[in-house]
Amino acid sequence: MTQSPQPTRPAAILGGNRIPFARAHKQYARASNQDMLTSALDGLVARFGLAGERLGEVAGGAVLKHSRDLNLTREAVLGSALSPETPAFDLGQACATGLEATVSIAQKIRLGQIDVGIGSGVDSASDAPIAVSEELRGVLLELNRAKTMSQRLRAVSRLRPSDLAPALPDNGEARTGLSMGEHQAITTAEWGISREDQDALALASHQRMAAAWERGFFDDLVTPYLGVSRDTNLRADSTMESLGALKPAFGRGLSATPTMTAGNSTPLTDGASSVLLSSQEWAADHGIEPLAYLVDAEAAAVDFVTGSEGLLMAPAYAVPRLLARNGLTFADFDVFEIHEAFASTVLTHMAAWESEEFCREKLGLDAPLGPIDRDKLNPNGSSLAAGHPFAATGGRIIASVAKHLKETGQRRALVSICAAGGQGLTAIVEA
Amino acid sequence: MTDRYTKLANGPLKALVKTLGLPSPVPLRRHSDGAYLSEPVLVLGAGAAADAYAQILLDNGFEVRRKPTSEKLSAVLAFFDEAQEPTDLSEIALEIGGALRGLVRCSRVIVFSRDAHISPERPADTDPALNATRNGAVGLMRSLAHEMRGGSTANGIVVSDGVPMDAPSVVSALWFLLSSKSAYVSGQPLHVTTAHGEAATAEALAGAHLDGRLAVVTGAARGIGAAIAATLARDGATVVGVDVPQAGDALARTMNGIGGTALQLDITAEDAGRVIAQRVGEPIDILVHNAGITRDRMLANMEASRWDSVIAVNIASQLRMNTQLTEAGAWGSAPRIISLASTSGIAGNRGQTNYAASKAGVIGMVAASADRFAAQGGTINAVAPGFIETEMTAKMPTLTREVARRVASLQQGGLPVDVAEAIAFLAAQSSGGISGTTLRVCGQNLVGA
Amino acid sequence: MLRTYLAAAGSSVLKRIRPAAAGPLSRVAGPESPRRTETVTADPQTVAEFCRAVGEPVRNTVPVTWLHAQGFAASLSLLSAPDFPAPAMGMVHVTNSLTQLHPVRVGDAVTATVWIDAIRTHPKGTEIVVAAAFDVDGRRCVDERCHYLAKGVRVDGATPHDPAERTPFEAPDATMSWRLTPRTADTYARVSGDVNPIHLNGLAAKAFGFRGRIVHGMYTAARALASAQIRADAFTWDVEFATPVVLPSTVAVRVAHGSALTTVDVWNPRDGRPHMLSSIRTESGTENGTENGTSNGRQ
Repeated sequence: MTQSPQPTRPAAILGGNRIPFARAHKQYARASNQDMLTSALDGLVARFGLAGERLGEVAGGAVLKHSRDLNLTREAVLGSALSPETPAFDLGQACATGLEATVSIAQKIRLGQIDVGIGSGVDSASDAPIAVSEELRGVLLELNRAKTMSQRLRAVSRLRPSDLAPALPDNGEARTGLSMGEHQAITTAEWGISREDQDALALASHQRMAAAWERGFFDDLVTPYLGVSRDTNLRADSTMESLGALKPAFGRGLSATPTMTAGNSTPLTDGASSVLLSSQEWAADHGIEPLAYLVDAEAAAVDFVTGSEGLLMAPAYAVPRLLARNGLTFADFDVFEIHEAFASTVLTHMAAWESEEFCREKLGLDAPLGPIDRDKLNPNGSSLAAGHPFAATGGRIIASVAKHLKETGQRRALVSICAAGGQGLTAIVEA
Repeated sequence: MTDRYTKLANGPLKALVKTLGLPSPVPLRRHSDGAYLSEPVLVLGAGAAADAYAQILLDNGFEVRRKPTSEKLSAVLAFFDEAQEPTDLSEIALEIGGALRGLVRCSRVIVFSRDAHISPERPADTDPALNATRNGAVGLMRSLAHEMRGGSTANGIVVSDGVPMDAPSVVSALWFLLSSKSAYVSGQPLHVTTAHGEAATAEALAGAHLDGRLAVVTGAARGIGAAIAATLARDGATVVGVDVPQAGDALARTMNGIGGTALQLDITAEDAGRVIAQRVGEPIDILVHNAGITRDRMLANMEASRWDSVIAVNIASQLRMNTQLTEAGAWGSAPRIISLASTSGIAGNRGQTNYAASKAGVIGMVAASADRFAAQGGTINAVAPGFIETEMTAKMPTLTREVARRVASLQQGGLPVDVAEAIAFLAAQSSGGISGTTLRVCGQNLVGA
Repeated sequence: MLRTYLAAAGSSVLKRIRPAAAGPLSRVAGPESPRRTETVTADPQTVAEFCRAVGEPVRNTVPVTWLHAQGFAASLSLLSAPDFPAPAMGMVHVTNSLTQLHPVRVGDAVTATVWIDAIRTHPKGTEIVVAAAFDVDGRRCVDERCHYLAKGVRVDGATPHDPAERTPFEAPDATMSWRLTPRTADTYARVSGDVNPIHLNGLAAKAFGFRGRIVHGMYTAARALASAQIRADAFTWDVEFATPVVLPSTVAVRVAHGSALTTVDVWNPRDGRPHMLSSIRTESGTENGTENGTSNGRQ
């Protein structure tokens, strides 16, 4: 913990906008990250009447990113209705990218560096970057460096027909080669999370999000895109029976009975989101009433490479540190927004916080953090229902939870997002 | 959506159209072509009002003629306000006739008169001869409008007893009717019933006269609503566009194009008015009830859902929003409420019993609401569009569409901006004397004439 | 190198027809046996290419697996010498043991000394121990013993020896998954110089009794060592090759860190049979991993 006497000011969450999330290779199959991010920004600009305005900064990013998109967020700003004099920067923290972008804008506001900014994120699993094979890339780079004909010939002579096949991105971890689902299947088995619990969590997510759509909760959080006006993964008619009928998708090679299915795991999704944040003064000057405030954030990471901790367990470590710094316990929170990468990630985090052994040995706590009231968990559904366009999830959650606090008059929310690379980012949002 | 006939009739087929005596619509001058024509204005009539307006025109930079002339003219202003007997009409009427050949394209005839009482509820002391004379002037104007050629129009300004002839809204109505903003308004009497409103110059009304005003436009995503939003923004208003969430992408595009704010909301929601008040968060100076739907079906085949949804969107929501905004104290000073009616609501239309009921309802609503809004210095009016070239009318069968276009005196469909201009005019601070009325923007369509 | 292999193949064929002249084995194996010495500079570009191929980070120190490759040609030529009593071709690399005392840095001139350390009996034939030492400026940096098995070959005078039992293996849950393709072998052959046809040519592989091309055992070992991310300057690395990886294949991997011992196992995820088992022992456990990490380390 740092001893920073520097005065800060609150960073207000004014609102958000996203495009409806769509399952990969469907309605948004031909839209690029830049297209979707621009559209999400334009909807936000329209919602707050910011056309032509120069904002302090826009932060954003994508997990599946083309090499040409080195300036993805800036390009999206240029294509949007914002003033072209609005600067932007890209960042990345895998699935936590959107939240990290929002947190970094909030911190700049808190420090007085900017008055207003946008945190954003986008991902397309459909319009994913395809690279040349590592071998072909090596040969091409070698050719580029070659000065003599013989060097060129030597480089080309290494080429094999199979090298010409393109390299598709996968969601395998770079260091382990295992997919995220396979990693989580190990964790799920270790914690003994049951299939029924996972399916029940997925069902609640779908039902709550369907209800939120029904009562117009997303009317001022989402702008339609390409003819889609609701998240296409959402299944309002899901039942325990329909979820229970699905075959296991991950963990089939493990000794434990596999429990993770397509129903209790998030599908590949396309989408983009954005969150508008500002100082209280800027909001007042623009006649905008803040929804909530982004108070603090904490990241954590775990050693998953050696298998000493599960790939997606980092939030379990981040949350106690965040609570300790802010002098809070679970009892101080009205809402828990835990990103549903898989139903079992949420359940393992909660099991970990309830486990005396885990809290003592891994977290160094005297007592477990305790249980989380399921009624306070993801009250408007989460990624199992909405889908999970990696970098867009943070913006979806922050805007939704801020609005939820405003709407219900509740006070405080905990936000938690697990990410590839054994990382996790958590944050506190207060009314 | 393009009116190919009008293009052909003004292009390669011009001679043929003339020989065959076919309708020969001309491209209308609109605000983007300039507000006012430069040719002199002929002011007919010998009374005080005619003199006063000759001076007002001069003060506003117009060239004025007080006697018939062989010069080309941009407009004729005819003052019948002092006529007492039907025989008093003839002198000025014939002078108008004499001046018609001197009018340039897209010129104007504007007839000034005092209000006649033709509804059963009239003051007991109404003089029959005077009332006949006053109503006669309107009849003259209406027929003359049918005779106008070359994109020219004839309209009336009807001033209630007790309201000075040079009241702010009479002058304001003159500038509107004289300008290209009234391109598709013809054969219409504009009633000025009070002396309220702030006087405005011709130049001011052609510029950013809504500066600093906040306008809410429902159904603003596309079509007429988008044109209304754009026109109000052009005239200086800050616009909040409202449309259903499903139209949010079009709404965002429209609002970003004019620097407006998008509010995704279903106006049929029970608390739509309260939500608008809360979201806008500042006093609403202008509210345009534009959102509307059609669910056409012969009454014999009408399903309850079709009937109910049209009533819910087109009129019930407006009544509820007005009430909630008033209760919330959401109005600015001297608010302007403008509601979209339809010529179907005036004349009726086959297959549109539900739609006509809702739109006639709008006309009834504004008439009955005028007093309530007058209490806070506001006005409420309706605009009834005729055949307007939109995505919706583009889907009509070709023949029906052609007939609808040519049965108007201007022999063409109007554009969304024509409706928007009328609304911006009614929203003006200077239009405070006009309330409870329905202004038709129909090119003097035969329907409902 | 290819020429070395051709020579090895030629001498192997000859030895099958006419076994090498019997003589005292101390002339070809043991402390008095001839040594091959060669000095190579650890060229940064060459080492980097090797690192990229086996998953080592490109950095200022040289992976021991690169050093192994530098000694390989010399060892092959020793094994193919006319007076060597067993055929080089068909020998199987069974275990490898290597100790790093000090890291070699890129740019260093490394002197590799290679000799046959022992020829000993083995239940399935004869085991040949090839020794390699790597020195920089006269200081010993790395010592290596490579154990090859010449199946079905009997060498008179071989030292009697009971080889260690194979480590029993039961497949655990994988922590990694590697996709290995023929291209993997092509690339490793290029960066290591080991162009043994069983890795590069399907027909050649079949001729030696494999179902198809197999990946270099030392590639699997090198990648396993890279995965262990050992940061200690001094360590001992033991590798046991069990079954070859026929290309293409996806293999299961588990890296397990203990306090002083890290194990990396590679096996076939379909039948659970091991391909390669390895362990790295460091002086202290603080160099890498977590103290309380799970360990299935073999003591």
